[in-house]
Amino acid sequence: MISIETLLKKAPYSLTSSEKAELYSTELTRLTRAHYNDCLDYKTILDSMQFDLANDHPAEALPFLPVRMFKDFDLKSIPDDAVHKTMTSSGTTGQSVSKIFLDKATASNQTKVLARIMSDLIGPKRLPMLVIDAKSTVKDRKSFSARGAGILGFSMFGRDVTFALDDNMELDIPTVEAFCAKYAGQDTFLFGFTSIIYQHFIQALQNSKLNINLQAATLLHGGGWKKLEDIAVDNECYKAQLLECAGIGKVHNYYGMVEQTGSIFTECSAGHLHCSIFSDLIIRDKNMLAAPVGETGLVQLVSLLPQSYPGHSILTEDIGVIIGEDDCVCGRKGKHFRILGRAKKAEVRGCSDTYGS
Amino acid sequence: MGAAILMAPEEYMNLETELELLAGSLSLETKGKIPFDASVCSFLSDLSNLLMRDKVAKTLNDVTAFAFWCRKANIHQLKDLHLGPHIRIGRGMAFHISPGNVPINAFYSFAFGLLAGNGNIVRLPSKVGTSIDVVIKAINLLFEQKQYSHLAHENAFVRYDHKGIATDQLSLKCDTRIIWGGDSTIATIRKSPIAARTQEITFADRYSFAVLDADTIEKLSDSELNQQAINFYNDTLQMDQNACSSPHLMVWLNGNNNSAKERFWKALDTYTLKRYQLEAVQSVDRYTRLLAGFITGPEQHHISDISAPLQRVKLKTLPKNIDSLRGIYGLFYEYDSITLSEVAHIVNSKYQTVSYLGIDKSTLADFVINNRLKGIDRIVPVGEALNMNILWDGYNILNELSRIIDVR
Repeated sequence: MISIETLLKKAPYSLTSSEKAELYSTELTRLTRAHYNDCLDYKTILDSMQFDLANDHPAEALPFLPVRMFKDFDLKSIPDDAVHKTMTSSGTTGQSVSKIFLDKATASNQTKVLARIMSDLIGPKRLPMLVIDAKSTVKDRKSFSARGAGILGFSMFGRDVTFALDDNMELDIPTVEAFCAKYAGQDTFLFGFTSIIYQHFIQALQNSKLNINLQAATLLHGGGWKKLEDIAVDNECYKAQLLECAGIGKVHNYYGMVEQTGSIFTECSAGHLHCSIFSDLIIRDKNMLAAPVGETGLVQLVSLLPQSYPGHSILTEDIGVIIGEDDCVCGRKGKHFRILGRAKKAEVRGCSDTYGS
Repeated sequence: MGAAILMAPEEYMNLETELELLAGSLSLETKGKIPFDASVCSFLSDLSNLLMRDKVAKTLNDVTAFAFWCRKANIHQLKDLHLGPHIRIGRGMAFHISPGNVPINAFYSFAFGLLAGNGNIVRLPSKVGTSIDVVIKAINLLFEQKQYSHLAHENAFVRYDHKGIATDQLSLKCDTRIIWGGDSTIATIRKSPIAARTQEITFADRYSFAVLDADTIEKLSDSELNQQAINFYNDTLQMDQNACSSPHLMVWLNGNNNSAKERFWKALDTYTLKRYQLEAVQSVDRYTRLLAGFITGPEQHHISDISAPLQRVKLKTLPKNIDSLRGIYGLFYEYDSITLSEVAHIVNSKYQTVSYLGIDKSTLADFVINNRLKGIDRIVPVGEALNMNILWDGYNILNELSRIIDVR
């Protein structure tokens, strides 16, 4: 058994496909057995499927849970008193949210892994940080919304953490100007959610006559493109606008979800999302068969981190495609991929409730 | 003060602006007439002819079935079958809230209303669908004909946002309100009161199952088997297993005859692969439903590989709350039974249709009566589970939509 500690000593994009396949077969099978023993609902699922736990399986042959299962059930592999914190996914009012139960060890591993991935992106030192959000988003530390948790999580890689928006989500111009002046020419770290940056930062800057320069900044953003797709803003257009309105040239998207916090996927200079050594991605076709490189399908995420809840192998409702493995021009090993958005809702037939339709 | 001169009350004006009228005209004060009025019968038969000739309609299973149902011969047959000994007259204005997801039922509901002698206001789902468009187009063509102008005046197909006052206004004015459910739709609509004398028919969430005899399947010829597979497909996957009358559970008699069961599944598999398109998001829904069912349901045995086109789950026991377990998009729950009486304990008032293959229908009727079951109001051969008819959910809809004049 390889510990997370051992992996933390390795460069985060250093395993070749065969090394990774072997490691993941062993480790994910081990996690599957552990959750089978410690989570009754998970055991029921595997028993119903008569899943063979005696042998190790390749990652793609192991059971996986749809992310919605974390909304409908409280899935945890630890006793209640070992729950260190509970993460919830963002969900619009009325929608159910995922509940992810973390013990101290899992939470700590998430932080360490995130630190490894981040140091690859912005270097090992903490940088002055500008959060493109309002401080009020993180005020209530007891309820970790995905947005709040994201900001808090990433704030660890910054210093002099400054919020660019006021509590009304308006661009706080004096604060932003002061930040730019204070750190002129220095490396800084900018973080926020894709759509919030667009709506409250890019558009606000475009509408104001403000001229700010964050040329040396690295901007990391995530949370999905849904809202921007609706107004036809793609990644390229997004980057071009950030360069134009704030001089930000280093813009990196990240992909990740609260169900597997920590093992995020970041975008390289070539514009591809990358799997680190701590997690991997499998594409499944609509018959749930693992799909080869280049084929579009449902995104399944596997991670070595989840010990306190059976979320080491989850099926999302996102559609993606693996571009290649170990062969990105940026030099990173591992799979690199693209996310194409949410799987399209199909028209439902039958006489279920649809008065609201 | 010009506005005050207008005759229409303010609400009525609001109502008209809130509604999108797709066919006919809004008449809130319609009076009833005798059931199976000659002009109504000829209207439906003309509608049938129009749809049968329509190129687009021909490609739509649901429209074709509706066109076939309202053909002249069938309407006449319905009259003989369902008109009782009493003198009847339509109640007046029937307000139909049609289901969002079985679009064609809006027109069955309308036809029932017409045949019973009513004027009708039918709320169509806001979602545009080919089936609805095709039938509405045909109805509009007929409404333009002089002989049907009185029907055009007394009937309307409308769309409106459910948040507005339209449901309130139409509910207050109607003589019968027909709600094609789900339970939560019914609860929502019921917030809008109806008059004391107004009759209400609700089609709530129902649960249905199939009883199949494995030994009978063993004896079927290949072509008979394939036909039964098609029939079963039409009862289930044709509507993604979402219809209330689709069997949600398959009870096998002589279920230990595994080779016969396999034979049936293989035939269904083959047909499904030819006909059924599963989208990625549906595949996730199905898989989620499967896994959630393992947790919430009784002990189960997942027979199929997760990539198989049909997902079979064998239930090891049959608890009372089995109606909470429902397959979708090719997920099927099976239970092996020795005798029919083994399943009596699960039947509650939610149970609607039993579709059968290889078992005598009178045995099934006796099963309901002898066990004094609260549910099951349809017993039909496999292949007819979705066939809409005047007798539905235990109602004779024609009777509900008309009133008796008791003459002594």
